[in-house]
Amino acid sequence: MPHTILVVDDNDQNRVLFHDVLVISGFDVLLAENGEEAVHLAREHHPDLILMDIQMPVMNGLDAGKLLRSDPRTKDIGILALSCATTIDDKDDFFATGFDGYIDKPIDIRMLPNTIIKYLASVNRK
Amino acid sequence: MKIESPDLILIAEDSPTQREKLRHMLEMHGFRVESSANGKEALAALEGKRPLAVISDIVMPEMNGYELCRRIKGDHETQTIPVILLTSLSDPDDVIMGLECGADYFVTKPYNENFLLSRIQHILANSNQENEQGVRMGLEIFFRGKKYFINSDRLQILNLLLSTYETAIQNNQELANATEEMSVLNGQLEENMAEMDLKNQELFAVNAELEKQQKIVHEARIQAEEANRAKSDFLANMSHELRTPLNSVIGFSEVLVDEMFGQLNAKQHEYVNNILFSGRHLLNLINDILDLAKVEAGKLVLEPSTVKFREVIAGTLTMFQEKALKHNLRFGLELSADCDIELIADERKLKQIMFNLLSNAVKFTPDGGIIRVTAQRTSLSDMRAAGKYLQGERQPEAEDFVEITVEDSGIGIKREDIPKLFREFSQLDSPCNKEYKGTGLGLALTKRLVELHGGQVGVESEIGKRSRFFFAIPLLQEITATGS
Repeated sequence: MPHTILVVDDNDQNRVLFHDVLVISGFDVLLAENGEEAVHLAREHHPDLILMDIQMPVMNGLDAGKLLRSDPRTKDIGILALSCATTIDDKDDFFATGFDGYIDKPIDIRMLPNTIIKYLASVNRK
Repeated sequence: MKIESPDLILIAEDSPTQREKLRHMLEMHGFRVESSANGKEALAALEGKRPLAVISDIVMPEMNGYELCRRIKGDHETQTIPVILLTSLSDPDDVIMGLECGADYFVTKPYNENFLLSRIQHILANSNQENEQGVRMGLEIFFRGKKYFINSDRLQILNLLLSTYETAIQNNQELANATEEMSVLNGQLEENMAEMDLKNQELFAVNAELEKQQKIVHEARIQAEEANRAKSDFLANMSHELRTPLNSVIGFSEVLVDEMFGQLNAKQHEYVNNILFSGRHLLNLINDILDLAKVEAGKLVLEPSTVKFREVIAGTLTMFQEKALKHNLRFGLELSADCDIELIADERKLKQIMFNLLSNAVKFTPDGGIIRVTAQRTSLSDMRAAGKYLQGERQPEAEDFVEITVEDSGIGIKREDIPKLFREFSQLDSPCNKEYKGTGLGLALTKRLVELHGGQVGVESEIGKRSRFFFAIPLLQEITATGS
């Protein structure tokens, strides 16, 4: 059974790109436009991994991350931040919120399926 | 029998300078002078002589002036020699003591020259009369609980009292003079005070103006800082806003170029490649702007780690292999043995620095040229002595540095262009590899990144022959050789 990936990004094109590339790479893909949508979808579908943009309207990625971590239904789901932040402080924020890692933007879309497979394998080993 | 010496004056004075002064003055007025340092010497000098007068100080070692006078007046042989005592007469005791010892005249110290001379003239004029008129009076007086016996003639007493009176008058006169002088000075002081008041008022006005200016400058500075911060924030936000759509341009292009969703024909492939190339260039430009804005806003921080120096340098060189082949460029890498080390630096930024310098070298070197990268250890004092580094905003603090030089056999840089090189958005035209279009930010950012490491950059060039860009970064901790 294919892994389900929830992609959270406010940019329409980015969502299309992530969707198409991940689907063709054999994943099931859920899409959300902001943190609030992401939390609802995560509670309902319990994906294997969430790729979370940070700067979004309605609810940003850090707040969504906190909500997901505080809810017993979603607290075990892996979350990777899609980050264009480059300072140490920002990255400390991610880990403080409970993110499992981050992928620096610009993301090399061709490498993304491999990055996800590697991440899921490492979670399964645990 | 004493030998009469009507032009001889005997001085008794213990201070050599006072003595010489007195002698000089008397000699200038035609007297012969014999001097002695105290009463005893003066008495000895009187043996067999009869001077016109004796002038004696009061306080002297061995024998003081009163005692000298008393001895002169007590000796039958010498009692008619006039004695002038140099006394302060400031104390009633002085007057009593003077009377008691039988002195003829008193001159106050510090003495007025004319006054002393007039006393001597008086002696000259009256010397005969006095001898004849001398009427001795013996009288006892009590003063301050002590009994004194005065054995002077009336003239002596009168002289003493006159002297005292004269001194008092003289003192009075001096006092009056001093008072007048003082009132003049007081007047001046008042004038000065008024002037000072005026100056003070002016000073207050200037001060107030200065404070006003300072406040304006301070406000202007705050405004400038705010504007600068706003500019940096704006740039950072803009960069983010620009990068987001650009990332999808690049992402979609990459997917197409990779033919993930089906094959493209040659023309389509070429066009998508062009989109990808332009997209990446634009992204580099935006990234450089973001980095510069962050450096300026003080938000770009180093992420230091242990860096294998040779690997980083060699690694950036391999990124240019393709270009080197295409343009028949030869690369050389020479690391001195003591540079085969691990050092503490931000690896990504170190790579960025090298990438920027190598991009420039490739861009400005004609086909078939040579690009050499060398590294060696150096020290702050050597760097200063060489004088080839640019002054940064901060002074380097470390002592040991590693110096990396990127030298090309390119077209060189005109002397007048060198100061512009490290400024933002100042791009020189490249007649060589046009496809290597730069952002005009590379060197400005390179300089900032090196300075962020606590290092310095510099450049040397010979027009038509070569350019040599170099930078030094400090060796921050104990270096361990990585071996070869």
